[in-house]
Amino acid sequence: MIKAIFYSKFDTVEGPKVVHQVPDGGIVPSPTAPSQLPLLIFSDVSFFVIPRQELCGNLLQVCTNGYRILGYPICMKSARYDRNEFIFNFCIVLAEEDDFSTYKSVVQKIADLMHGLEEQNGFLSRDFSKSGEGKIYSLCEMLMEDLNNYCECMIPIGTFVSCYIPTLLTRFLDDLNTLNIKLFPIYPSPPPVKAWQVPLFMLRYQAFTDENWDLTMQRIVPHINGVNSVRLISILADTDFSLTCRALRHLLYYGCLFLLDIFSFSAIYAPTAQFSTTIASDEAMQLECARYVNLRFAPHPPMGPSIPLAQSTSANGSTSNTVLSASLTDPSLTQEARFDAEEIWPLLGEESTPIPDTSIVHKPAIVDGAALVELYAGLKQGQSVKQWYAQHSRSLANIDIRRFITFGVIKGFLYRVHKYACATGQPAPPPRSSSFTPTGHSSRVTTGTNTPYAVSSLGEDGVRREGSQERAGSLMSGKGAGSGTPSAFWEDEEEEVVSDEVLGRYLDGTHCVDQICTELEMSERELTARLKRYPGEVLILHR
Amino acid sequence: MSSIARPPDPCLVAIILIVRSRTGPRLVFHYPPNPLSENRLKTTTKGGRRISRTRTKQGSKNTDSSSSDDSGLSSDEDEEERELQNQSQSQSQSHAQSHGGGASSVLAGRRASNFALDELLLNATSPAAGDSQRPGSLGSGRGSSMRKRGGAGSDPEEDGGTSDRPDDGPGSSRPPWESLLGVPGSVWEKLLSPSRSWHKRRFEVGINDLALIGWPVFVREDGSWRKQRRKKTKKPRADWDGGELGHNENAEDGPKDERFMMSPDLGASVASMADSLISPTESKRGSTSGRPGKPDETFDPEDKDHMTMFNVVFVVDPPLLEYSMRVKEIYDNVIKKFAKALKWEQARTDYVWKESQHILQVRRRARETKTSTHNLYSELISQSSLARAIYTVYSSISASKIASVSLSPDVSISLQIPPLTSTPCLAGPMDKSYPGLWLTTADSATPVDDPGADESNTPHQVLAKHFALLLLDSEAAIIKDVEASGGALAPALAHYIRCSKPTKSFAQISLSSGIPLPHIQMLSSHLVYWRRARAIPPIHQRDTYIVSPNCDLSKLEIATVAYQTAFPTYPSLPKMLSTLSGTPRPYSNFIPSKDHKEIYFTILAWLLRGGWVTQLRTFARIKVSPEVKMAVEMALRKEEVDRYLAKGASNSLSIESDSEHEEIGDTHSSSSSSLDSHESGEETPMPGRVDPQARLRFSHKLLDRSTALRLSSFILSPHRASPLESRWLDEIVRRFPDNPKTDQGEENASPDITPNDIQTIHKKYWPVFLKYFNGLDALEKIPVRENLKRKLVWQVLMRLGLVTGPLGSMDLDAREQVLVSVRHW
Repeated sequence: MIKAIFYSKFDTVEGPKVVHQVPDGGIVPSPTAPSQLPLLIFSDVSFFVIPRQELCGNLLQVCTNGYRILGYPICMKSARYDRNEFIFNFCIVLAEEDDFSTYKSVVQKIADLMHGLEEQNGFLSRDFSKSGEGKIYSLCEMLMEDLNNYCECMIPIGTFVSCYIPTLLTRFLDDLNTLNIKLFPIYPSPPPVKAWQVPLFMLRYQAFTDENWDLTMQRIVPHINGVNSVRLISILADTDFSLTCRALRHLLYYGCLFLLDIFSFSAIYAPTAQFSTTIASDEAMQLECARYVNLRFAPHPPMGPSIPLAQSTSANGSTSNTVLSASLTDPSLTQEARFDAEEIWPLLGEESTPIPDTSIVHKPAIVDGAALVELYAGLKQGQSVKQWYAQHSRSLANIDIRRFITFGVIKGFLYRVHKYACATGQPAPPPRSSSFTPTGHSSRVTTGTNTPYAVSSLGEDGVRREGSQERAGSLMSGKGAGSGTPSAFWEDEEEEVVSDEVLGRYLDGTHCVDQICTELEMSERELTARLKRYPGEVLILHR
Repeated sequence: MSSIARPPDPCLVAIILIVRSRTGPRLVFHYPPNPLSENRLKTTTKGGRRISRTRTKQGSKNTDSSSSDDSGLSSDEDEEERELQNQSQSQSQSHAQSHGGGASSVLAGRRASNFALDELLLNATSPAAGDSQRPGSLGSGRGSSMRKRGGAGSDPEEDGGTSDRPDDGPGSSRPPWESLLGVPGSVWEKLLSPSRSWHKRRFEVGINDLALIGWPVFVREDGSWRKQRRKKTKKPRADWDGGELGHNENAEDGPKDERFMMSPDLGASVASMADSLISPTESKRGSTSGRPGKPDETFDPEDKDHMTMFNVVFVVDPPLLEYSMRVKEIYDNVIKKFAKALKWEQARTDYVWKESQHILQVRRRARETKTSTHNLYSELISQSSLARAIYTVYSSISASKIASVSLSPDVSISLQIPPLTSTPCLAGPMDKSYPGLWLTTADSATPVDDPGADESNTPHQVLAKHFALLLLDSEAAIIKDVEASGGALAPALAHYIRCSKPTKSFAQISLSSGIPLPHIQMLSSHLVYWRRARAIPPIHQRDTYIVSPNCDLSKLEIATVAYQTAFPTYPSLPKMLSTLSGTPRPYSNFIPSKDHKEIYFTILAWLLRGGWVTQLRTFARIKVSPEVKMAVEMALRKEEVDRYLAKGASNSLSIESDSEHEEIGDTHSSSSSSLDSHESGEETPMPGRVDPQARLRFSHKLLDRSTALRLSSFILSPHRASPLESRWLDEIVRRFPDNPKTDQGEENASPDITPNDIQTIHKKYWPVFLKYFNGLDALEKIPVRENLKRKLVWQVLMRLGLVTGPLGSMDLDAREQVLVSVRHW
């Protein structure tokens, strides 16, 4: 919020002087507004407002009395001025602790404009109106009001006919002299986009795209669905990869996108420290989660959006929207919520063994909020989604697994445990030995789940197929891009498609498996097999 | 070795010392001689328009963000291009400069108009076009030598403005050190010597992207530099309070302000700690001269000039988005403390003024002899302790190190911007991340830890006694430093360091070594503050450690070598990390034998230190099942009915019961809605007697409320349970089997616990453990804090439904499975 705007100039008689101020009396006491107490003592800051000419032409700010004064003093030299120079400054006063970054450009722009106006016809130096009157005062007034209320302004500045410039030209200039200012928030630059990341729209892109957009952007946008990796998007959209990254980064900057990882059933997810404060204590979030993951609300073709082709795509777009904004605008959701609060919760799958249920609950058993939390809590390091699914298949019967995971990642209480391959330079250990055997408990160490490979090798595809049949295709989306590349024709015994040299470059421990798979265009399974044939020991780190 | 915590970004550009005396303000000293030179100076989009840098990602600084055509997005590529452009620009300009010896000004701004009036006008009308034409606006020198060549015969115009000073002969050629950032010293002098209203307050001025921050000190009306103590003879230790451990904040004015809080370095602080620890009276050390400095000898207005103000101004260039944070960091930790120290010395020995005069004298001489900037600065730094102090502060702080500054033999301080040591948040793919930073929620004060601690006013609170000390360097190295620095407390510190083990909590060390716990806490918090150690939960073999999701794998190669040197005969670092990568298990699983225990703990400490691993901790909440809720609801109803029966007939049963019920079930709004339906229903009010219909009615009500009742939920903070939650908890406890399958218990429970134990186990420990079931306190704390056997605790917890590792040896009773646990760092 702008607290005050004032126009100050160097008066050859009085020295630095406040000519116009909004609010009246806000900077120096004014006879017209005796009740207004000045925000600050002008004499304390006059040197910064009207500095020595060496400092003019720079953005100056000074803090005093809890306020921050931003100004851009301008010094103009001309024979037409007393002492041959004219120094002025339009200053904006903000609260000291407020963010001032967006206003820097404002003072600068005002200074530039006024400089131009003064040059054209002495707009400032010929203004002899009293304090609190005249064009400059109303300009300041409008500026402050509009920026505070609307964060933008469009103020036409009429200049009077000047003897320096022909009338016609002046009129022409009048039209041009409009002060257009908009306050833009400044965001941090997002980090570079990686090929193996998976963008997901946080809002409906259909609502704001138009044909004037950048061509790359227009082409990639339909492929952003929370499933396709960046690389896959660039392939599908047939766009240059680096341009794709730039376009995505642009969307990221404005917070339109969220970056996920490539989902697969061999991936590992685990809770973060945000777990207890988010999903585990926030019942609204549990509801939101249920809505998002419940297959009951999964869009079916008839009620899906009008673009049948991009069924899964648009579905993702729209529902993620509801997830993230928890918007009540989605008719289906509010309707459901009002219909029966309990129907939001996914049903338990059928199972032969009845749970000892002594309560009066007659309705089919449901996965309620606490149960969802328990499901999330069941995800842990060293355990793939597949294994987790196997343990909780009943509860997960009516839950879209990919969305379930995605929800946690978006909300920040889950993180993907990435795998990194690291070649140690040691000779490869005898096949299938435990990765670590100095302990007396080695038998426990080697039990299935601990061996990094076990999670990714066996039967993964089987589960996926099974799951997808069961689930009306919504799980088809679970197929990661990395494993989705057609590469089944590779045979182990044939000549290596990826040479040891190329592969070795990825084995310094800084490249995660997603990256290796994406860049070498192989599935994780193939990579695992390939790593076993790598000469020398390769360790897998989970991070 | 492995990286320690990410230090904060100091963004320090330069330090300027301004003093004001009767003859006006003087820029006495600035360091470095040529700030923003070398590669650092790249200006942003509009050329030399403003002082700026593109060091950060906010390179574009959005100077144009108000113009709608600029999206404000600065993507990598853009920035790179721009930087390249700028580089080449500045390169060429610096060429031009070195050839033509043109004026070099970072603050080109208006000065350009001195060269060409028209140009300014041109610039103004079309800023984008004109800017780059400003001569020399970029090349504020490329290193001091270059700068000297270029600027030796610098433009006379710069001197034009400085002739008001007696020792600046008009027209005399101006030595390069007289201007800073391309602006003549006289301008800085005026700009940075504010009015008295800034006395001992934050003075902040911004020029384009630079922020200049100081803490000006003015002489008092009576000519002294500090308030006179009423009883100064009785306050001999007014000299060197050292703060508590030298890192206290005390900003308020008044007597306390005079004993400014210093941050002594390891050595000095040892001394100051000795003062506070051993005996306060001993702290007279060095206080002979500690009299409030009434500068009688200098307070002689007749023939001697004297100082009326000094202002040490730090020039920083924080990224736009981190502006206030960075400014606050350096102001609180460095600027204010340094200025206070100077004020102290000024009051005591007229230090600042004497040193300033000395520096000015050297500079005058250098001007006469045309000494090079380089020589002048080395001379100043070797001769003046103040110049040296400023130099030290600059070079250490800008490198994010601890600056140990000695102003005089008696007075030395240490300054630092305390680094971030740990974070609970894992950065997502879209956030800025600090790999290598210790990822944990285990900070030394947590809810149960310190219920009364007010973190806001104690910047560095006493470490919780259940933490342990993890040294960040080898024990020998630290002890060597401690002993080298001397100080009264060095032996105590060394002794403590020798006793300390990361496997033992402070309390345990205190017991075993005999050092009182408060001393241990003070010593360790001292070590922690000065970056020698870190407070961690004690390492235990039964605890679980995982590869930290925040570890810095790019350092893996270097760290592997270091690790190899430290533990040559043990599995390599990647191997170790790979081992810790699987399903999380207690660390003991990886220790081959009892004999290896010690070394494996050392390895673990090494890994923790480098942020390679982090402890996986368990958190739990109590889940209330619908059955429990229903049972409580029934009981409540029954009570109501009983009460009603006892009361006798009344017509307002339902309403009354409702309102009564609301008192208990205040967490559920559904009760009020049921009330509504009651009143609006067309049914006649209940007859005044309980009959089957009334029962039915109750069950109806139950169904109304059933939405909440039929869903299980969590008790968020059991020690602050609402009345209804308390009822639930009671019910849960009631449901614990009193005699839980004794036969199976014998079979499955571990031999440590007899069936008898099992019977009493809940009753005994449930109330003790209850407060930890809030989802925020790690259950690993329980054994340490409640001083219980770890095994016992975990057995109880497992019984209560905790799932850790492979599912249990125990046969668990569903009625006891009330905990939902989650594990994270």
